[in-house]
Amino acid sequence: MAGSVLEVENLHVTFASPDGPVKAVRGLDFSIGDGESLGIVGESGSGKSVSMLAVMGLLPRNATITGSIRFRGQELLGRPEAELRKLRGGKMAMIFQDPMTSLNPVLTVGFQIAEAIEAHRPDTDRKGRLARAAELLDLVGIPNATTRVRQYPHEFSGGMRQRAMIAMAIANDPDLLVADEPTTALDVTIQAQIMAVLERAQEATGAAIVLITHDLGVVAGTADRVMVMYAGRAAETGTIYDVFGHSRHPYTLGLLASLPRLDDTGRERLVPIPGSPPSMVHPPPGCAFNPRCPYARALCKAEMPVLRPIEGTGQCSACHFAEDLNGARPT
Amino acid sequence: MGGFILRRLAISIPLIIVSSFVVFLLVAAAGDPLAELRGNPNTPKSTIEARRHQLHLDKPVLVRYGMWAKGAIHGDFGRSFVTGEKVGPKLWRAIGVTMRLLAGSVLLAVLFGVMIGVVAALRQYSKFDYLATLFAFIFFSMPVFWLAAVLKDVGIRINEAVGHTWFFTVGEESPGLAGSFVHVWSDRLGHLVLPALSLILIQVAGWSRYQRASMLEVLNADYVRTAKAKGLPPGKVIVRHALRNALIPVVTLVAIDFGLLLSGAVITETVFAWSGMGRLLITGLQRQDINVVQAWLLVSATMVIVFNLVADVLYGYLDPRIRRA
Amino acid sequence: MLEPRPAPGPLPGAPGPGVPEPGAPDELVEFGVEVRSQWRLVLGRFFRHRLAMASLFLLALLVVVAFLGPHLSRHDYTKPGPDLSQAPSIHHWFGTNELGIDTFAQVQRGAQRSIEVAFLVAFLSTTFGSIVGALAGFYRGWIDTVLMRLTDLFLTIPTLAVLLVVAARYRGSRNSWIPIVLIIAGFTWMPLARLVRGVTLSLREREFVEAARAVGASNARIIFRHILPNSLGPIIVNATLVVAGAILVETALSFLGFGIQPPDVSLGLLISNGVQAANTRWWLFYPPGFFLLLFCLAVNFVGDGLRDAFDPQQTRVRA
Repeated sequence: MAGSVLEVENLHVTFASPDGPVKAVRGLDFSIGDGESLGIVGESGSGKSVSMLAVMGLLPRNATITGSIRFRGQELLGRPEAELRKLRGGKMAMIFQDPMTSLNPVLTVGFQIAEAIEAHRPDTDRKGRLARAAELLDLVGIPNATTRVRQYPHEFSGGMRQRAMIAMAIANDPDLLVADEPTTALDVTIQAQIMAVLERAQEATGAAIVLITHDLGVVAGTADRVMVMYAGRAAETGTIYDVFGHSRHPYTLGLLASLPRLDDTGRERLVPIPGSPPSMVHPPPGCAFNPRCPYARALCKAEMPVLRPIEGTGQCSACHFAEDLNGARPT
Repeated sequence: MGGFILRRLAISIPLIIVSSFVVFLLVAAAGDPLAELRGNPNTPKSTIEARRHQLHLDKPVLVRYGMWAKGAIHGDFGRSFVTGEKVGPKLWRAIGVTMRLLAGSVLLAVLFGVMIGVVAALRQYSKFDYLATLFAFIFFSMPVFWLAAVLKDVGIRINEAVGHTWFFTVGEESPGLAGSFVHVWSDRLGHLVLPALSLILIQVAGWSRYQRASMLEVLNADYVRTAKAKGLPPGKVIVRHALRNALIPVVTLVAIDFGLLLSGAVITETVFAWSGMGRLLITGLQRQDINVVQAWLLVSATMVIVFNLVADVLYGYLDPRIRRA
Repeated sequence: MLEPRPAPGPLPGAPGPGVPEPGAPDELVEFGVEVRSQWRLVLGRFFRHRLAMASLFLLALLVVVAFLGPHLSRHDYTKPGPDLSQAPSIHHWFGTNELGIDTFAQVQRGAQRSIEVAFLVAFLSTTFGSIVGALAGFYRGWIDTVLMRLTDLFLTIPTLAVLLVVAARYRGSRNSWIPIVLIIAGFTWMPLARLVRGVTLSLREREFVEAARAVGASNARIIFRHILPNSLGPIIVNATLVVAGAILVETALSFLGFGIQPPDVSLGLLISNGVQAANTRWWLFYPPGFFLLLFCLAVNFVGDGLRDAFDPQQTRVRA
């Protein structure tokens, strides 16, 4: 597909564990085009991080991955590690959740950024790389970049470290930038700044961004499209207006209902989704959400719903009764 | 960095002074150089009193400490109560001998401990890992004096079987050793083998476990994941990112264990009949030779403090976060 | 328009509005885990650790052999006999020494004495160290400062040397084992005290301490009923390791002649007596050493198993 950066088809990720195989991702399909922003939303354990780690090839050895992952049309699964390494940190980059521990404490920040450049452009010289590192730090909004480049991570604040991580990720002009909960470990005020930096990074590189988060507010403010994940599968996908305004999956409805809204009178109770996330060793039969779903019927337990486009909308939903749900709120 | 070193130095000096006082008190309280005289019922009281006065034992403790400390600063540790020899020169000679054993043992133990620990961590749950763990447990539980004696016995038996002295089992050098530098030192090194092995085997056991745990912790760290996410080749990830951080705690451990190594050296020297610090201390204690014991304790405490200082500085060099402290 | 069913109600313990619960349906019990007390969890993990269990068994065996000694073999460890310097045989399982005394009886007696000393030291130093450490961590202030300075100081002087100096006084005394126990315990409580201090420091900030205080519990009650029980894990693990450490220290002291004094027996004494004979009469030298090694090995494996049971980590090598 022209202009497509990433295509994921029928992705399954299973981990070996002493309690049995853990099925973290159970059949995931999605794609991203050039310059797009996709938000992946879900609870802990929904498989959102694992799926992108699988794309990057950063899963541990006890993970079994099947399906298809295509980057710019080239299949990634099964490729030799040396080839994948050329993409990783180069055309595909990832930043992680906790900036306080994501940087090596004994190396300078500048060195670590320069290292990323060196790994993919070995022909550059040291001075040039360090200069480029300073430029990148400046781009992500770190003042006194030339001094900062020679400093160690412990001399940076949390927000600054995350900016440095972003600088490191865009150092090689990636086509795909994955941000795994980039603001979760930061103060709310810093969150907004970092999201702005990500936007600027996207403008500078033209990269497609995958934003993984459990915070619906963050997604709504940044992404074009959103994929809601539950128990290792996609529950619903679509534009943010469609998914948040006209949800077609009870899980999304439940998520939205559990959030306080600005137009609430203040008298209503928040309605959490009852129950707890399912065990990924023994997921519930049929639709994984059925034990907690207020609309569940016998069919839901019997048959696993497939992610399918809903007629008349641009959304896809994995609910047997998606057509009936147009943004309904449970009372 | 320079300020860091000076600060560390500033702490060490009062520590040495306090240690010297505690050491003095300890020996003064526990030791009784007049015990032999007292034990003999024929010794008249006047002789005991005279001796007591001669050894300044009738003066208050603080005064005695002052006299001793003044001398110690100038390197004069008094004379042996038993032989009358000056303690200082004897002590330095003994230190020289023991240092040979310690230096070689520490270097090799660190080298092997780190290597085994790192490889075990990289190949976690492999056969190598299990074997390394088993080895570590066995030698960690091993009494050093028994190990030394076993090695000595094995050495003797091998010598007998071969009909030739392959392993030196007695002393730190052959009697009447003289000649070229190479000749002298190859003889000394030969005598080092078994005693050093006794110390090394046990230290490697402990250090390899520690290094393994440290390496595993680092391998699971976020910044190692970042290094992989950058597309760095595995060699660089392991050496530049993982190992560099995993080695840091080991520096502290080696420093902490220095006292332990010294104790081990004392025991090992006894088994192999070396004329080092081991013999000095043991005979000093057996004969209640207070000046010898006090000097020994002070010097060994100083050695430990100096060693810790070096380790601190090294740590500061390796870990930039500490330099401000 | 799809009509939602009435909400099934929250699971017990799950947050939710106060909807009356019609009884949790089967689908909501996803995990099926029964509530187990923390102790049962710990014990369960320990029993599943095969190596630790095997070592515990071995340890029990060694202790039984050591203590039931006089009833097992027919020989007295003090009585010289007619068979001088015999190699092991049916009659004398570990042979005899130059006075005709049965070596097996000696090893038993030595083991018994050394094990007694080790357990006593572990008990004393653990008790004392835990209390001091808890007080230091809880009250801070002068107790804390004194403890920290003291431990720092004694870290600089090699422990063996200090022990030798103090024990030298008791050479040639009868019942030497009593001062030896006190001396070794007196210098081994410090690392444990530091450990308990650290645990106490972190525990005292926890909510359950605040809660206890709010209910009006006295400081002593908080320390003994809340803080110490929660530090029990590291304390027990450490105590186990102290047993191994103590026996090694005692036997080393005895080996050098500054520990247990004759006519009493210790494994260390036996080994030092046997060193000269190692080449020609190996049965005097190797059996006591192997016993000591096996004992320490078993204790260390049990300690490692306990550490795993209290705090399982993925990074540990499981046997």
